[in-house]
Amino acid sequence: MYLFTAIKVQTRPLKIHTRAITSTDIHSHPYIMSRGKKRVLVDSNGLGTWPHRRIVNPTDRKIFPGGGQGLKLVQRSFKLIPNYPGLLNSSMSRENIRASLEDIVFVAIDFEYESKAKKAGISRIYEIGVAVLDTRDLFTKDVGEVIQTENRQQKDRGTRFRFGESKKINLCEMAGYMESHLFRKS
Amino acid sequence: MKWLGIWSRISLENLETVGFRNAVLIGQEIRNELSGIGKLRYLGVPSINVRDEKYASVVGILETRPAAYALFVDEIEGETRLLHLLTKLDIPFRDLVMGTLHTAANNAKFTMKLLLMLVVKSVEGWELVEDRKVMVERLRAIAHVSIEKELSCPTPDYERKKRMDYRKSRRRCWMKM
Repeated sequence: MYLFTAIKVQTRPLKIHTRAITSTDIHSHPYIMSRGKKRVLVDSNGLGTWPHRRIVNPTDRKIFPGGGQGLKLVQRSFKLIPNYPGLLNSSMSRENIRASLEDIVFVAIDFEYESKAKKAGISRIYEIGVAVLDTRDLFTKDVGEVIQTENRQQKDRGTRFRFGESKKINLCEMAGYMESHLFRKS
Repeated sequence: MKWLGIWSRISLENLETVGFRNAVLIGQEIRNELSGIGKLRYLGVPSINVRDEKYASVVGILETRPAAYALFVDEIEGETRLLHLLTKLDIPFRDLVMGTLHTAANNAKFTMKLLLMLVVKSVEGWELVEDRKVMVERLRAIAHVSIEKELSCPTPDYERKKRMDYRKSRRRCWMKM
């Protein structure tokens, strides 16, 4: 004999309230870069619960690659915290690591793209900006001259570059120009 | 070679042989820049792939935006635009004509200043030794140095606009006649 029992559990369909991504989300969260099909979870107040009102751990590498770690390196290079060379790579000698971390050139870069480049899916860079801060020059140079900036432009459009003159650059010279800043002879 | 955000890749053998200084790349959204210069190869021009062994002297890569977000989410209320951060950290940039920060080198310069202020901000509650206090003050001074001297000079943009205005005015005179 078999006993057949039918149990039907009535469940409400799980409804998750979401809203479209707005411009504030794009600016508030590091990983939402554009408005796509993604949506943001919304709580009962109508505020977005994820991602932009979330309690975060600064050293969480998944959320912020380098959020805490990167700043540690910068602090170390400015001699604000001591070096712990063993943490980085055990195979290196201590002096080497110390030398490698205290003597750093910071290179900040930024590009400007042509307006139609994003639609076309290619990167037509027309402007390159580089700011260089050498940790050796921190105390030797004047306060205003520590950060050196350079601007390079493909075509001679009007610039609002205020810290010098912007010069011309060809598209095929850009990689070489970047390399010249990355490789600095000691 | 890992992506740790700061992306630690220190191979000292290369460094010593080549003899280049260590560089740390910084950007507000550095990944965009890196992808941008990497995609140049599709146009048939030389490009850069920073993960390549050739670039062993690039010790780290750091994005300021997530770092700022991690440091003070509550104060900035989740807004990590460069403009917003600069105003919050009292870095002088003046309310210029729109698009000042959309010039590449200006943006880079202010990103660098932002980084310095982030470092100052991150050390704020600490008890520091005398030397380190001096260092912090120096960093703050560099970030807060006034830029009036640079801003006082007329840009090519401004001159061009003036020229155009002059031409328009002449044209109007001619129309009236």
